[in-house]
Amino acid sequence: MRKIQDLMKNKKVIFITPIALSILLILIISISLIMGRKPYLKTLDTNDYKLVYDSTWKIKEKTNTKILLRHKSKSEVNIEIMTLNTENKYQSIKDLIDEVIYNIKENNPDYNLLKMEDTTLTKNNYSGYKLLYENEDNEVLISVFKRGDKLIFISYLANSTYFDILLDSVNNIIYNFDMQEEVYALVSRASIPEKELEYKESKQVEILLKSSQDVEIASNNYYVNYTIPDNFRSLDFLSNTGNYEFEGLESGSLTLVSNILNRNIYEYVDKDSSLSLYTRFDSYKNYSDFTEGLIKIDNGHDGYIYKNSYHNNENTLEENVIIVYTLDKNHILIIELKAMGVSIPQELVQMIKINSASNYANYLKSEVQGNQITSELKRITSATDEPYDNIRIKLPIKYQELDDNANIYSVRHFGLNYNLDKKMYDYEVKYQLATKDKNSEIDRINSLFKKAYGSYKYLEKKGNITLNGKNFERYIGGYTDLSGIMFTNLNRYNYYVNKEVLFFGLDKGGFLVVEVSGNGKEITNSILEEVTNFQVLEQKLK
Amino acid sequence: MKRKIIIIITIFFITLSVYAITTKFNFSLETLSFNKSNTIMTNFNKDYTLTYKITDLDKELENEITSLTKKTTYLLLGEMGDGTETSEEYYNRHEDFLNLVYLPDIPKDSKTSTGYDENSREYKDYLVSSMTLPKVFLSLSEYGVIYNSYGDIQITTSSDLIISTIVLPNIKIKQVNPDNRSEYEYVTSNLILHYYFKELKNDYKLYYLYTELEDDLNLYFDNVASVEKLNTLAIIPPYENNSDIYDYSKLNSLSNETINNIYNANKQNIVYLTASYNNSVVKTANGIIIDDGLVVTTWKFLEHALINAQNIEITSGDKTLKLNGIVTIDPDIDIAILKLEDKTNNYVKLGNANNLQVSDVGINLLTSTGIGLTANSGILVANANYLETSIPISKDISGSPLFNLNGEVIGLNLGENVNTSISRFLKVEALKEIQDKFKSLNFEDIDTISFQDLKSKYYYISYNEEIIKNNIPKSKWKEFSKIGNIEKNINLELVKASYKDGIVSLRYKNSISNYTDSMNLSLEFIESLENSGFKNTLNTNTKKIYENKHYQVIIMKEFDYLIVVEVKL
Repeated sequence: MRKIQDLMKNKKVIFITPIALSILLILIISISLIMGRKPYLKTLDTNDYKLVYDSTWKIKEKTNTKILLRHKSKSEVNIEIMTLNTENKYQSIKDLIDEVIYNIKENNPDYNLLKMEDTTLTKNNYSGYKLLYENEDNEVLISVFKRGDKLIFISYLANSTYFDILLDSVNNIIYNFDMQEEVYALVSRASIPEKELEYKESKQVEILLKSSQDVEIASNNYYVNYTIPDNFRSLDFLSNTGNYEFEGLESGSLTLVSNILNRNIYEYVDKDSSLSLYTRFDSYKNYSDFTEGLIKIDNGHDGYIYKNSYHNNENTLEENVIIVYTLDKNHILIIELKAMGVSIPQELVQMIKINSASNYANYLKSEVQGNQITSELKRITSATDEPYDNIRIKLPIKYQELDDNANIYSVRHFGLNYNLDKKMYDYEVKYQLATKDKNSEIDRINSLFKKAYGSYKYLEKKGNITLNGKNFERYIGGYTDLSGIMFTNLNRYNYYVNKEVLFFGLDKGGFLVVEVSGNGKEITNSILEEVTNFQVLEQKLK
Repeated sequence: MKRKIIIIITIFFITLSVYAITTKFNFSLETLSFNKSNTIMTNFNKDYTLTYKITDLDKELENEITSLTKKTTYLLLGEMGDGTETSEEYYNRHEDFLNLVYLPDIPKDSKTSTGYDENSREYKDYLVSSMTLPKVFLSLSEYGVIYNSYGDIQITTSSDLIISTIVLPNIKIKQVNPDNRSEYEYVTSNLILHYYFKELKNDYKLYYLYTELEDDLNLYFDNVASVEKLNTLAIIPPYENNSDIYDYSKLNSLSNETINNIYNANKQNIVYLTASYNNSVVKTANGIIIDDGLVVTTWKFLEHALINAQNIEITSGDKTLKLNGIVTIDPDIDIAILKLEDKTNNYVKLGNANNLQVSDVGINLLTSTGIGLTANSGILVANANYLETSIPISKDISGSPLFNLNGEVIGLNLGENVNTSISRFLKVEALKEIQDKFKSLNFEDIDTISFQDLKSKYYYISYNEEIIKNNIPKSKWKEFSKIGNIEKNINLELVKASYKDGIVSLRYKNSISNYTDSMNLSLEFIESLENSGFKNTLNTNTKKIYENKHYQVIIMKEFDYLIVVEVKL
């Protein structure tokens, strides 16, 4: 008691004690924080592999083919990567695991195999095996999987006390392990030098521009709705291209053509590319007043506008404007304006816009009404105000429309009963508005008959037939075919294709051709009745 | 002094126990040698060892082509994963791909419409590569293939080409939904790409390429099997694959009569081998009766049988042939020679393979079911280390023979194809050595080792019972066993239990049912946890975590064990 009292009188003690106590307090708090801190994840990212592990493990050894992790409990995770030689690299993991087990047995006679499992390993689900061994004191889990010519072993060794306790942490290491792949650098090529476009005065065209119209185009699995001045009149009903003429010009001509191409935009505008828009104008560069320019546009759809201008040999002004829009990395919409004897004003170009672009597996335009599909075929007989043929087809809803990337207004294709095993339809029907004579059409269909796989019979007239109150000329034939599968022709089924072709005469000449195929099936009268339900209407162009 | 000795001894024992924990499990790559089959060779009569050799592909070339294969795949399909590619990246990739296409210098000829010598080899090659490859690039773009890793790559030489096959596992590919044709759906499959590289000015260029989806191939091979009928021959139409680059004129004059003659002369020389375990078939193969009572098949099949089966049955048509034993094997060329109990009084005639030319005809007779035989015919596309033909044969059936037009065997199918439309046959010269060796021996004198003896010596894997251990102190168990009332709610055999630093781990063995997942056997325990206020913070098929303020419970499935780890927080 006296000693403490003396101590308390000492000034040094009075000064040092609070400081010492504070330091002790800080130490106690720090230690408890460190002890209580949850393990955090660490990543090891090398040129050869990527590893994720929690901070309770420390890396003890690391080479490009081996990583050794150790836990404070002295448990270990050993990852080794072996390059297989020519003999073994083509073997599957199933073939190799037997050798692994044999080697383990030879080198570790005191370890007993408890379990073996054929499983998938890592987040990439590589095929592999897990093996569990134990001896008196320890357990070992070995995970083996193959990546190309590499065999990867992850072995986890721990004393029995710790084995299950650390198992979850080890499973996370296995799950996240991966080999790195080579990265390839592309040579960057696209360099598109831009140059301002020059527009001439074009009062003749400008005074006519008032309002616009929405038009559509569908091909290459894209459907695009776009706007053009409504002075442009449609010259045909091709749905896969646009073909228009500017009306009302006192002199000269101006046309618009649109297309969807399966091409990359840079290929189309890179001067060095053999597929570019520049190549077709190469010969015009000889004209003394030839000018051209290219600018980027960005009005919701990425693209470029190209324009050139020159006087041709007859001293007539010619101008071309090409608007290219990106639909995706390998599809573009092209709208081409061609003017002769008149120039293309900027105002007209600015009126052209894309409204919407969608990617469809098929561009289908049949409408479903109740239990029927309605489709239309159209045929212009001349480019004047004459009425055009409009065929409205009605089919039961069980028929499925098939897109052939063809012009949907003059050819429609349907299938009935898709057979999943054979990967084909039981029946197919094609409608065409043929402008050529009947015999040419028959020759064309006959030329597509396969002759190499078995018996065939060219189309022969079998009189007339009345279906749905309409009179048809009837032709019957068939051929043997071999079915095929995507990319290859390995799947070879022989089957007989029964063909019936019906011709329906149209008033202004020409025919509606109904081509029915039974793929290994007979064509019955009820099928013929189903596919000949249509109306012929006369319409006029706007 | 005494004290010092005691301290030293104590330290020594502590070190020893620490050392024991970091113990000696001798498994590292240095000990892994893949030489078991060499060890097995010591069991066979040395006089039976074959000398026929196959030369390996040059290592440096192999590495170069492996790298080129991965690069070509990247140029063709873009980066791994389904990240978006910009138009500029696509353009650069397309250009780089086109630069990889084989484009030879074509000799000129002003008399032709093209300006080139259209009869030259270079012109024909140009038509193959430059006309087809750009189109393949575009069509693959349309299919929107998404891949996540490179699979196995297999490289071989074939005539003046180097053929590299890469499998891309678990790819997604766009396919039109047959139920709603205005939609795409992504289907998953394995994509197999076959690259044919040709050397041009010290560089390898892409000459030809074709692609296959594994599901479609499986369907094809299933259909081949389905046409076999009892004791008859099913003739598959001659197979013309890649007719852009091979000449099929000789094949076109092959008649069914020739095929039937070969069948009739050899149907009793082709055997069907079945390896079974507990009456379930684990593997099948074909074999050829190479000499009176001697069958040759692949080592690949025999090894698989030794690992996974209990016995092998051999049939020929509706006749059962008893197996005496294994005469010898050659793992390098992948064959195994078996001896039957009785002589057969029939065996095949052997022809010559070394003098065969590319585009010569080969006829393969094969049985997929053991019921009947199927005849597949094609042409030779290469004759080097092996015979390679245009006949697609499933990798699952090895050991079938290849005949020439005279009905002589010219090759043995190894079930290891160059790619899915080029099958590989061991040349008959290897089989001739077998015939020569055993011709002069008496059948009874041919030494064998039985299947069972070989299996028990090298291939038998015995599984052991766990050592039961429980080192949880009673006081701790009193505390932890209350969690989820675990003793009552898990009715499985406890094989391991341990306690360390506030953590208890329990391993249960599922000896109740082979069909019920061990995770499903913990449902009552889980329910009890939930009822006592534990919250589920993770829930997967193989791991569940429950937590409250004081404890964390991890439930895991490992092999058929249920493992529960309880952590005091």
